[in-house]
Amino acid sequence: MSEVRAARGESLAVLVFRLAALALPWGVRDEFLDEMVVSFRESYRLRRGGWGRAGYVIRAAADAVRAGWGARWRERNSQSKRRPKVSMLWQDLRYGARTLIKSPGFTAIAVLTLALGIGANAAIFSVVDAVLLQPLPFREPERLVEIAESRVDRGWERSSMTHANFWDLQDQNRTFDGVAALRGGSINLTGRDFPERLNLGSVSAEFFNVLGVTPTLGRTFARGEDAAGRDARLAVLSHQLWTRSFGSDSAIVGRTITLDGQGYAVIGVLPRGEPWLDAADIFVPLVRQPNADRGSFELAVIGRMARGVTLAGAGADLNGIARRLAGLYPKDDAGMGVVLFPSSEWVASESVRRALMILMGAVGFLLLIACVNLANLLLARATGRLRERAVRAALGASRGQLARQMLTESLLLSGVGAALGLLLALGMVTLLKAFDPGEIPRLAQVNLNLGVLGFTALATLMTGLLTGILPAIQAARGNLAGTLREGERNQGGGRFMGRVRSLLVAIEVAASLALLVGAGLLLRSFGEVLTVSRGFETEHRILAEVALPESYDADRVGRFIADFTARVGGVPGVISVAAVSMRPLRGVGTGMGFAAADKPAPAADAVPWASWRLVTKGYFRTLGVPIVRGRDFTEQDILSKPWRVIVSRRVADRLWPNEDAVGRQIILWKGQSDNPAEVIGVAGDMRDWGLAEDPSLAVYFPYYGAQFSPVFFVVHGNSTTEALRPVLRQALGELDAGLPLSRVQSLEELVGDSVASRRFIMLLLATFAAVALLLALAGVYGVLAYAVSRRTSEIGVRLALGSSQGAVLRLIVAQGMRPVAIGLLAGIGGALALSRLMTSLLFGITPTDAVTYAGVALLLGGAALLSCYLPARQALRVDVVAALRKE
Amino acid sequence: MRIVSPLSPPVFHVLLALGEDVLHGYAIMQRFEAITGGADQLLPGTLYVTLARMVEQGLIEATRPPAGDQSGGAPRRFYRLTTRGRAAGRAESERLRRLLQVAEERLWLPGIAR
Repeated sequence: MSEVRAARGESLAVLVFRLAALALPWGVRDEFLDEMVVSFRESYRLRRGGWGRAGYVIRAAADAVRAGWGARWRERNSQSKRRPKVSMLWQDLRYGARTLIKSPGFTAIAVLTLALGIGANAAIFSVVDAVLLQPLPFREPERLVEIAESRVDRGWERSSMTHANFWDLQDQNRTFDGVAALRGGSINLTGRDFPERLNLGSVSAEFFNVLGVTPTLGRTFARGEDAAGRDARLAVLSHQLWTRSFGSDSAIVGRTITLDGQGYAVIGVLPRGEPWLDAADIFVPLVRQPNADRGSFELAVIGRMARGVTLAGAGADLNGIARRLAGLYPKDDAGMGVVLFPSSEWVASESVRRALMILMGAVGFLLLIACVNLANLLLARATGRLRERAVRAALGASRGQLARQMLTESLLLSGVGAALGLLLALGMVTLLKAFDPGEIPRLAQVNLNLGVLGFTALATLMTGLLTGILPAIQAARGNLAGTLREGERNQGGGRFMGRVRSLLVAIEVAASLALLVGAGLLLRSFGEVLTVSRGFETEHRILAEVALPESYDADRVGRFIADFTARVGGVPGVISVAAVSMRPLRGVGTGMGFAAADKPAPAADAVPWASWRLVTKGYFRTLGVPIVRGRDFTEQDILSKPWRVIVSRRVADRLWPNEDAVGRQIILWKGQSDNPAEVIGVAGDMRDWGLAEDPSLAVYFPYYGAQFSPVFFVVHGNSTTEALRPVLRQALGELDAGLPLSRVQSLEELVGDSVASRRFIMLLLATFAAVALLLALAGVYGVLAYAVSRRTSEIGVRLALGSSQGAVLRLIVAQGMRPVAIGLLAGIGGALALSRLMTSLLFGITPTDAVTYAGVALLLGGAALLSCYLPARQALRVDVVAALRKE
Repeated sequence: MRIVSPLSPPVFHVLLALGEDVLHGYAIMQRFEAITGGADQLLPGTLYVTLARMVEQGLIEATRPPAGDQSGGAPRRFYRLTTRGRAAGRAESERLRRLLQVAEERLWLPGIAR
């Protein structure tokens, strides 16, 4: 990794030097550039340390610029001959720069517009580059796949794998160099200043070999270290944990650390990287159990295909094994299949991919609008400069030369715009990282690397050409001699150019409408998500996690929960406390099939699926969830057979529509262990899988008599949640000082976190849409203001001949609004077509949501009307006499 | 072509570094840094502009690599002093010596004797 960084640093250094070397005269560059770069590179390598190297780069670059200017100055003084081609480009550039400097207002607006467009593109592209385009940090990643189980008969398309099935696949496959598994969990790190709750990854011994990862320190697990009966108390640290909790101690390998009260020998440290390498804080061997089960789906499995094996070939091999297993173990494995996911899909989920593509499209539109705006400005300016061009033509400039001059100017503008845009992009990327919603992978690795610079250079070139091509055509057209005779008067740019400008306005309006619709749809969805009925209350409620070590048996867990609840519940200001086995709004959880005992059994693939949780009495009251039928648990409801359960209203409605569910028998783990249970109550529905998900089908067991960790405590107080935090800490400290209290969060924060990525994408798109709106309005205003100023005398004549002011006003506004109206219509059409791509990001509305479309069209139309009205009012202030005298 | 006197520092530095050897650009950079004990250095931009100018002025000339050159890699241009370059270096050194004598008389450089 550090070599990679060093290589990047060096190529950046060389890039800087090369840029500086542009200052050198052409002759010197032509002859010496390669050798110069080699010398620079070798000297650079001799410097040690980041500062030494950076200092050298700066000095060498500054020196090259100085030497270049010195040489140029001498060259000019000695009147030495220059190469004509280069000098012509140079001349064009200097002429262009002079003209631009002469109208600083125009130049500033143009550069700023382009900087916004190019900067936004560079920033979003840098994210796309890091998330979608950068290779995985593994050897030959194209051979890596993720392997999941499927159960066609139960309607599961992708499921974690059971232990026994994994070991069988590992032993029997013939198409993989290696197959390995990871099970997530958590573990307490103690024996240090304070206990710490860690994410634990139990991995089969070959896991890191399959990925092809070289550890930063020490080694990873060796083949056989996961064998049953081996002492598997070995640990590999993630890079993050190593830096965060061990201060990057390079002597860590060989030391012993305490995990859940047991000593583990640290054997290695992983490099930084996503995915998998950051899947846990610490990794230990997943010990192979001789009698592993086929019922609990816990393992994430990866495999490295043998050389020359295709995805289809590997899939056929594994599915053959699955069919054999289904025959051998019909109870657990009936209908088993295997699905493979190539590593190219590992980093970004479909929704992240989709969101990024939409953002990329949005900034593309933004740049288009910026280009159109600038093209319009340049056109207007070019028309105003007809006389200047006519003079140049008369002095011998060819039409080609005139056109080239216009292009040079627009390229110069976009170049300066791009430089500023890159600075903007740097700021935007920093902001993006600061707002990291935690769901965009590899966001921390986003930077403006060479790929991004290349993309920006390309975008800049395209921008320069796009904006310059129309003025260049205009420059080459037209009767220059006539212009010279007549002067500038009455040169509105001709009918043709007028139409072109209207077309540009229409494009601009259409593009910004499409962007605004996208942002509007996301905004409305976000509002819907926040206001949707959650089924539970969040105000003045706090959630905390306590992980209990294995030394806590069911009895002790029960005592701990009862003591903790009593202590916290006794504090003044606390209204109620309860415990639950799974935090709400995590989007993952435990599940099982269910059915009614007194109804005909559904087909195997139609068994509904419910999440389950253990809760103590008062859980529903603490969250503000009503018990609609029956009763809550009491301490007498011990988790033992026959089970007594509370179900959510949707479960009750599903099994016993329009009937009373209380007292009925429900079959849990339908199709697996088929456990009967009695329904004692029905609780209100909660959207506890995520606000944008349907309310969950849920079954609740009593926590009493269960040994289940970690425990989540929900506390409802009558004041701010801040006041509740110390209460929890103190109560825990009094009960068992060795237990960590982790992830203390108010329920409001939890809700906020669960919609963070939605808000993030919405904010980004809304920002781009707002900028687009401003640019488009500036465009509409600019074009009309220009047209009005060109028609001063015509307006004067109209007024003199008796037209009423109202009529003139209407005429001008109508003329300005015509392209706007066309643009609005085209934009609505485009948005209807494009918004379908956003369906998966929306909630509660359709992509053709009429309110959004009407609102956006009204907003844009109204704002455009205003930008037409202002120049029209200006026109009415025309001094009729002065205008007529000019005529 | 007329040689501007006094010589500009980079030109003089290249003459000093080159001496009677045949060296390429990078070696000149290294040699100069070595003879000044790292106190002073030639940076690539100035170096190559200066080399181009010195060739033009006839102070140095491009030549074949010395026999047994092991530097390998990309082809490089090697340089050696011309008679004119040697004369210019000598004249510049003479000029500097006179200046140093004055400096010595002013007691700015007590340690440097003949």
